[in-house]
Amino acid sequence: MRDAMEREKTYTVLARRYRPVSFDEVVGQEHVAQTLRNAIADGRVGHAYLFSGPRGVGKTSTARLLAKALNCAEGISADPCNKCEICLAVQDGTDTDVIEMDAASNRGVDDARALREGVRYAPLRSRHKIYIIDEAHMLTREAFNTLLKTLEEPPPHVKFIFATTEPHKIPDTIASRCQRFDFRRITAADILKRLKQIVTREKLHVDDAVLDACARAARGSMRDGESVLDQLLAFKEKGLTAGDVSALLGAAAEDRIEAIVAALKAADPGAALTALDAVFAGGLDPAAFTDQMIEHVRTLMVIQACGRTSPVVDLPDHLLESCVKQSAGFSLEAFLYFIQILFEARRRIREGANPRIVLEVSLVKMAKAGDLVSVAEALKGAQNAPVTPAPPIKPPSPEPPPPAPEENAAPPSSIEEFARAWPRLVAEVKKSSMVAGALLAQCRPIKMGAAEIEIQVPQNLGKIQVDNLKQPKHTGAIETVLHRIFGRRTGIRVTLESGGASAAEPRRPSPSSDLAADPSVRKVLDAFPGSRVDHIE
Amino acid sequence: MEFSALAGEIKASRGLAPIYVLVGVESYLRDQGVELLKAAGEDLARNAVRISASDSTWPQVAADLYTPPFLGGRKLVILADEGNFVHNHARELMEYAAAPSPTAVLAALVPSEKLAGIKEGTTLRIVECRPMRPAERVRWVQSEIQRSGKAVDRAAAELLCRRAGDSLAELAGHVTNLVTYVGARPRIAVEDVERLVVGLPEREVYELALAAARKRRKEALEVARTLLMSGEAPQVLLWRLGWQYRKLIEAKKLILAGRRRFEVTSLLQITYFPDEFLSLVDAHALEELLEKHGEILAADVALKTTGGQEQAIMESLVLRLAA
Repeated sequence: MRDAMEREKTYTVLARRYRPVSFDEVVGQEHVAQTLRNAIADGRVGHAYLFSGPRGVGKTSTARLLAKALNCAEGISADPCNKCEICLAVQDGTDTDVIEMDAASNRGVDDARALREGVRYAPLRSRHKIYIIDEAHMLTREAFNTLLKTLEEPPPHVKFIFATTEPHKIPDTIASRCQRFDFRRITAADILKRLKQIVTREKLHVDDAVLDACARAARGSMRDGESVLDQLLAFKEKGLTAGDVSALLGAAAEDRIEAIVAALKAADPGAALTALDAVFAGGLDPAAFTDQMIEHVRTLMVIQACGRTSPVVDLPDHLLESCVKQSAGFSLEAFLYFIQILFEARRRIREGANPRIVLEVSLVKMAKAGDLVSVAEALKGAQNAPVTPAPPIKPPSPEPPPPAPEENAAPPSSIEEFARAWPRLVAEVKKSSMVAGALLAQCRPIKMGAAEIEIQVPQNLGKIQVDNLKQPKHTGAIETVLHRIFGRRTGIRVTLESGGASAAEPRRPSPSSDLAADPSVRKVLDAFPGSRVDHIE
Repeated sequence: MEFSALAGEIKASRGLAPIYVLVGVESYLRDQGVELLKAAGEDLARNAVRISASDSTWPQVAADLYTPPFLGGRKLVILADEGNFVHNHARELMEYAAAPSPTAVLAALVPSEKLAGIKEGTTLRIVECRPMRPAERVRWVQSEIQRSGKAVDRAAAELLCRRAGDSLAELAGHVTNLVTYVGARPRIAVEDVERLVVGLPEREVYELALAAARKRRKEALEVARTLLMSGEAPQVLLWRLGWQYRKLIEAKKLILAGRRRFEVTSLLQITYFPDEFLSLVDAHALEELLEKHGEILAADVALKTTGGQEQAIMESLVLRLAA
């Protein structure tokens, strides 16, 4: 018990324990490390640096390395000794001459003034006084202005290193006085390499597949990768499997996802639902699973679009082979369609819909994608009979833009007719006002009077959208198009859908009956006796 | 005189004039001008005094100029004008030019495009610090790199200028970094620039839109990846992309309405890469642009409502734009 408590007291997380201690250990930022090494060797170190890049990619670590290199008791060197008191103190973040300031919590002009005052005094024991200002973009404008003069002509013993994830928020006057280095996201392969080094040093045996899963979960951030590994090792030190990583991340095992993709390829909704059932049986978080599906389909899509060798793919060899096999047989359009469905599913789950039903419906839609043929293609087929069957996986191609309403066409006489003409109206409005069209696309017509149309904004969009739509510039654009359709001036009234109104509100005309009434669809139905419209995408 | 002539004049050892007015919006050149003066000798670096115009009156500046330097030699009085100080005191400055202090050199830094009421003469030199044109910037990069004892491929210099953006100070910083990065290697190549200098998002978004317009899916995806890897937030990227397509839609409408091409870029204030912008307009029909703009809006909604999956959203958008 006491041992465990002692261990807990002294335990340092991997991300801190394995911060790089030399420029050679900096992963994924070789361009920065190389430049700084050369600058130190040539004595061309600038007085101010700006390190920018995403979180967890080595900005602060590199800043500390630079501080060590400049202040090491053994002399200025790109390879500091890492043994002297100064090197060790800098590494721990406790050195008196390397001042690390978190600009997120010390962002005011007083903090900047205190810093400016400190700059005037010589370092206590080292050659340089080095200010590492983390999250520099959080400083206020006044604080930046206070620093500006110091940055213009700093005393020779002072170096500034600004680290930020949002370089565009750093004023130009500051940025132009710094030498800027852009840190990049780290590839999964580089993270994997580093994780391997860590487990070797920790004298642990962890499968490559486990480390690879950690590396991919890190999404370009070394710190995140190390944190995942840390959690895994806390879970169990021996016999870790890729499944443990999945469990930790709330994700499904690869083979489950593969089974679903195989079912989609075979256009077998039953198999897809069975595979999904197995996923749910594992007690996984549906939202996390949907994210995983999106990521997987994204990988297959990128392989399809760029080829397996493209750097965009960024997969380890063992997964690459499997993904290449999975992506074969699908078209790129199919993947785009799948991703769209999954985004929609993710949105609905987030909104509180029953995740199981949402996912099941999504998978069935994806599995049945091959059955869907665009109206244009169906018409073409009807004209050039005999009709050839649709290829196995063929999602609906985007429909051509709806034709402009004919000036002389008879105006809609009922709300149902008007509802059928709605997409055309939206498309027409978009031509003159993109914003009005986008707003209108989310609404629906519910009542048609002699001189006025009532348009309803869904409740989840709120009153703000009603107010938006009521702006004269938008109503003007809509009424102009209505004028063309009805041949007379027709006003609009915008209302917000009431909370419990769904039962009482006028029923929206059935989409399938709408479509069946469309002359072009009618033509297809006539060409295929006995056919009916039962699924619309 | 042009800025480049200042270095020549100082090098020719013709002696420094008592007054230098460094005028122009390019702050880097103004600062470099001061550095050149400091390096010209006559103890100027040791005796440099910086005065902020916002905290001073002309009599104070004149008093500083006529007071001999404490350490002997000549004094460099750097007057940093942040507003219209020099413009408002043009008459006093011209009077001072008629009888300048023998122990001071005045460097007035004026961050405006024009200078009224001040005439160049033997005692007063006006140094233009205007922004460089693209071809000048490439030449400047080449000469700066040569001054550092290295050579640079022309393509690399051009790529650097494209990626570094407008600020000459940032460009100079990149030149320093590149020279340091290549170490003992005598030549800077395109790959070095690609490795060290992350492109400006504005430029990369153009590249993305261009690749998409040419239906080059792979290229478009690779540009998107570069942007995401550089840490650019997807929301910002989408905003830039949306802005780009809105401008394309406006330009298309203007062209369809019979406006001439140069008028279109001028009306829409397209100062970056106008030719490429117009070629993008040509590559699309209006309906296509509207549809693609709709895709961007849909991606924006997805980004806000799906709670993550930024990479997948951006990449599927790119593929739709390139479809």
